[in-house]
Amino acid sequence: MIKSEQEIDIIKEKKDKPRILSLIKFYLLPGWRVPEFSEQEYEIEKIRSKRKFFRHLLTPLTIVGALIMLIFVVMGIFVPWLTKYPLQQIIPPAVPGVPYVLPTPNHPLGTTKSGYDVLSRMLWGARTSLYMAILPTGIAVGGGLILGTISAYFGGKVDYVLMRIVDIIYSIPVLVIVLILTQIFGLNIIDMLIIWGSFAIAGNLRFMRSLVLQIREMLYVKAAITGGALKLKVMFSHILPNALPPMILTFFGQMAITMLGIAAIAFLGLVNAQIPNWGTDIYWGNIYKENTLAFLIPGLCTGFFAIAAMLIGDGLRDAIDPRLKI
Amino acid sequence: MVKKSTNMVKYIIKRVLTMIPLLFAVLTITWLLSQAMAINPLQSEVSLWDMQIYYDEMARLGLNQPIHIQFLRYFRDFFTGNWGESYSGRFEGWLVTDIIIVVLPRTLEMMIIPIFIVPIIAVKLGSTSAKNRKKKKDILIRSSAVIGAGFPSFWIAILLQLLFGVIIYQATYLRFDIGIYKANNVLFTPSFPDSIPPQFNLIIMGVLFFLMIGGFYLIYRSNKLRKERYPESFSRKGLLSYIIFGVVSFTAFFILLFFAFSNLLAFSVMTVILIVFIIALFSFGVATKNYKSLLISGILICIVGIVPIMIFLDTYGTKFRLLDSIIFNEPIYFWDTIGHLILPSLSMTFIGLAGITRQTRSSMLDVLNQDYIRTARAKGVPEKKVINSHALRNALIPTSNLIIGGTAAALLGSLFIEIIYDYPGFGFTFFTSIISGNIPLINGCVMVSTLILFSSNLIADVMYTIIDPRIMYT
Repeated sequence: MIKSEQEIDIIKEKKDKPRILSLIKFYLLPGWRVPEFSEQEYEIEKIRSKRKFFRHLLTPLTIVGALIMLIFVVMGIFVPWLTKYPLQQIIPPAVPGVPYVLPTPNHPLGTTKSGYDVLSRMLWGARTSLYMAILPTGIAVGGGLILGTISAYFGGKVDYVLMRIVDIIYSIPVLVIVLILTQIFGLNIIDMLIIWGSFAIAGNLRFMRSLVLQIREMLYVKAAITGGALKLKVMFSHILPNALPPMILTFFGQMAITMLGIAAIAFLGLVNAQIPNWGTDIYWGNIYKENTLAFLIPGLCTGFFAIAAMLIGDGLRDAIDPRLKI
Repeated sequence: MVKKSTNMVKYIIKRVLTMIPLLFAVLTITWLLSQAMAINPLQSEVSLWDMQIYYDEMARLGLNQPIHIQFLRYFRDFFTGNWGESYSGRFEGWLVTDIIIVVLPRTLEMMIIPIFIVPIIAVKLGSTSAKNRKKKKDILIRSSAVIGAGFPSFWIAILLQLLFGVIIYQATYLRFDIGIYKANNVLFTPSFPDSIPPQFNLIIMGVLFFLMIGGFYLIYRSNKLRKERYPESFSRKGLLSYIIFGVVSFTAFFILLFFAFSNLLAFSVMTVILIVFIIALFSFGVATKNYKSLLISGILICIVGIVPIMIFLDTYGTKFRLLDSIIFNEPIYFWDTIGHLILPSLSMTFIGLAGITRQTRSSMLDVLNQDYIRTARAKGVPEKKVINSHALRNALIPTSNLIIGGTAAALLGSLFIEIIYDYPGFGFTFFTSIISGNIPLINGCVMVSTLILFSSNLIADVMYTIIDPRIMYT
C-alpha cells in the first residue's frame, strides 16, 4: 500500500518528537486520535522493535548468564574487601589451622588443606579465573586476528609458512604440549596462561584467514585498492572492522574452553598453588576428606563461570547473526 | 561419478604425502621438548650411591652420547620400529610398542559407548530441541546440555565416584557382594594362550556363520539385480549356485573344525549350526537365483577371510579384554572388566553428549530457516520426513566434523577420567610418563596421538564429501 506524503510526514514528526509529550494528549483526550493512523504507527513500531538488538539479546538464558558473570566479576574485583582472611593466610607456606574442618562461624564453608578458608579461596579464585579467562583468550583472539589478516591478505610465502606452523600445532595435542611445557618451565600459572593462549592462536588464525579471504573479494575492498590505498590501510581500516564481529563472538566460547582446560591442568596438581585457583582447590578437596564442601564449591564455581560465558556467547550469537556457525 | 572418485583418491594421496613432513616436524618438536624436561630419567630407577651402575645404565640406554647422535639415533630407531624401552613406572623395562599395544585397547574399550551410541542420542536430542524452539522441551535440553558442557568433566567424574563409591557403598555396606577383583591391575596378566587350551568358541562360530549368511545375501541381492536388468535370462540356474556355494563353504567349515579343534562343545555347537545352515540354504535357494562372480567372491570371503583371523585370535587374542574373555572362556574376567568400565564410560558420555547436542541444535535451527524446508512443507511432505531427511541431513554436515574430531579429542582427553578412576588406559600412561620423565614412552605416546589426529582429520574430510556431494576436492 502506498502512503500519501502527508501521512509519512506526520509519522516522521512523531518519531522526532519526545515520546512522553506526544503521548500525554492521548491520555487526556481519548478518541482524538485517528484509528487508521494509530494502526500504522503500531506496525512501524513493531518493525523497529524487532530490529532492536537488545530485544534479541534479552532472552531468559542470556540474562541468567550475564547475572552469573556479573556476580563473578564483582567477586573478582572486590575480593580484598569481601574476605575475612588476607591472601597470606590462604596460600601454601602458611598453615593457619586444622585442615578439612566442617563449617563453623569462623569458616562458613569449612577449611581445606592446611586449614585454608574455603570461602576466601573461592573469592580469590574468582579473581584468578577472570585472568585465566581473559588473558589467554585475549592473546589467542588478538593474535589470530592480526596473523590471520596478514596471512590471508599477503598470501604467498607468508601464508605458506604460517599455515604450515598451524598444521604442526594442529597435529600435536595442545593439552599434552602444555603438560610437557609445565614440566620444563616450572609450574607458574602466568607462563601457562601465555603458552595456552599462544597455542590457541592457531585455530583463530585459520578462522580469521577464511573470513578475510571472503571479505577480500568484496567490491569495496577492490575499490579501495584501485583508489590507491596503502596495503596496511586496506588491511586495518577496510578488512579488519568487517571481520571483527564473528571474532568477538568466538571470544566467549573460547573463554569457557580455556577456563576448563586450565582448571583441568591445575587439577592434575601441575600449577603453582600460591595463586589461589579453583582447579587446585578441587585437587586438594578430595572426596575421602571430611569436608566435602572443599571439593564441591570450587567445582560449582568453575562450572557456573564456564556456563555463564557460554550462555553470553550463545545469546550474542543469536542477537548479532543467527546464521553464524562457531 | 568416476571423475569424483579418482579426484578423491588423488586428494587422499596428496594428504598422506603432506603428512610426512609434518610427521618429521612433530617428531623433532617432541624430541626437543622431551630433552628439555628438567627430569633425570634414571633418578627413580638407579641408586645414585653406586655411580658405576648409574654410568653403565647410561651407556646401555645411549644417554652418554653426544646430543646430535642421540637425535639421529632416535630417528633411525623410530622408523625401524624400535621405539625404545620404558625407564620407569609400572611398565619398567617393557618395549614402548608393547606398552601401547596393551594400553590403547583399554581406552578404546572405554570409548565404545561414547563413540557409537552417544552421537546417535545427541543428534536426536539436538534435533528435537531445535524442532521445539523456545518451548519447555528446548529449554530443558538446552540447559542440560550447557550444564554438561560447562561443568568440568573431572569434577563430574569425582561426583559419580562420590555417589557410587562412597554414599551408596556406605548405605549398602556388605549387602551386595559383586565379585570384582584384581582384573583391572595391569600387572595381573593371565597368560591366556598357555594356561587354557585353545578351543573353538561361540564367537568364532558366530562370525563364520554370519559370513556365510552374508555370502548368501550377496548372491540374493545380485540375483535380484540381474532379474531387474535382464528379465529375459531369468532361469532356474539360481538354485544350483546356492547348492554349490553351500556345499563348498560347508565342507570348508567342517574341515576347519576337525583339523583345528576336537572337543565336545565344538561338536554340539556344530550340529546346531548345521541344522540352521540347512534351513537357511533351503529357504534362500528356493527364493532366489544366480550370479557367478559374486558366488565366487562369497566363497572366497568365507574361506580365505576366516582362517587367518581365527588362527590369529586363538594364538594372540585381540588385546581387548571384553573379547578376550569371551574367546578364552573367562566369565569372571568378563564381568569384572564390564564392572570397571561402567563409571568411566558414563562420565565420558556426559562430555560428548553436551557438545554434539549443542552443535546439532544450532545447525538444525540454521537449516530449518532455509527456503527449501518451507517448500517441502508447502508441497505436503509429512513433518517427520521434513525433519529427518530434508533438514537433518544438511544439519549433520558441520556436526560430523565435531563427531569425528571429538572422538579423537576424547581419546586423548580421556586422561582425566582415567586418572580419577585409576584406569590404566592410554591417557593414564601418557600422564604418568610425562610426570616421571619417561622420554621414550612420551615420544611413543605423542606419536600415536598424532597419528590418531592425522587420520581423524583425513576421515572427517572424506566424510564431508560422502555426506555433502556438492563438496569437491581438487
